Amino acid sequence: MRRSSDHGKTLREAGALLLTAGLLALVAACVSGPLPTVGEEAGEITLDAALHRQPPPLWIDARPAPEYEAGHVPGALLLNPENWPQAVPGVLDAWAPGQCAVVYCGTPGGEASREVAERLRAFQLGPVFVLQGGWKAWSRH
Amino acid sequence: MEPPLMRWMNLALRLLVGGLFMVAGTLKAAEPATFLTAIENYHILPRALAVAAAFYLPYLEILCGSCLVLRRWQTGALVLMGCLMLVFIVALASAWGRGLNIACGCFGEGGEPGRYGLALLRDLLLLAALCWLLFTERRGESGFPA
Repeated sequence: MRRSSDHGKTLREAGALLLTAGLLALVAACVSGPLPTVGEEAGEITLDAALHRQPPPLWIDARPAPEYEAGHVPGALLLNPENWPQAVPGVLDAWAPGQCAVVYCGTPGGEASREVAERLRAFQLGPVFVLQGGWKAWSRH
Repeated sequence: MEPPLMRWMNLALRLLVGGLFMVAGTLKAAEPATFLTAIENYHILPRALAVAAAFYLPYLEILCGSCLVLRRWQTGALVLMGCLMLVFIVALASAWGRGLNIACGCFGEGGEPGRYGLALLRDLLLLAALCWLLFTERRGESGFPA
C-alpha cells in the first residue's frame, strides 16, 4: 500500500517538474524568438558529414602556407586571404560545377575559413561550407 | 558504514550532482543556439524536435538540480535525472558507434570533439550516484531533515 502511494508521489513530482520545465521553456522560446539557423543551413558542416558527401568535397585549406606545408587534408588546395589572387584560378579549375567546397583553417573562431568561404560563394559554382572545428577537427579524427 | 558518515556522504553527493545539473542547465539555457548546434550534430532528432529540446532540456536540468539541492520533490527529480542520464548515455554511445567526430555538448559549448570515453565515464558515474541517492532516499537513509 505504502509502496504504491510512494510511486504515485514520485510520478506526481516528476510530472510537476516536467510541466514546470515546459512552461519555462515556452517563456524562454517566446523571449528569445526564433533561433538562428545553424549547421549546414548556416554554411557550416561537421567533419563526419563532409566525409560522407557524394561526390567528395573540394577541400580548401585557408591556413598560412607554412602550416599547409606541414600537413593538410589529402588533396586540399591552399587558398587563404593572403595568396588569393595567385591561388584562386587553380581552385576554380579544380572545382567541378555542383561539387561542394569545404574550407578549414586553424583559428578557433574560423575567421580565415569564413572569409575564404564568403569569397568563394560569390562564384556560385556549388555549396561552400566552413568545417566545424577546422584543422583541429581533422587532425583529431 | 556508520549512519552519520552515510548522511554526510549523501549530502555531499546531492550537492555535487544537483549543482552539476544546475550549472550544466544554466550554461545551456544561456546559449540555446549553441546547444541546438550540439544537438543537431548528433543527427538523431529532426530540426523541430532539436529546437524544442534545446529550450526544454536546460530548464528540466536546472529544476531537477535545484530540487535535489533543496530536497523538494526529490524522488521525482532523481527519477527524471536518471532518465536524462540514460538518454545522454545512449546518444553519446550512438555517436561514438557511428564514428561521429563531435563534441558532447553536455555543458552547452562546443568543447573538444570526440572525447566519448571521458564523457561516457562521467555520465555513468553520475547515473550510479543518482541510483545510490534514489536507493537511500527510498530506504529513508538520506539523513538530514528537509
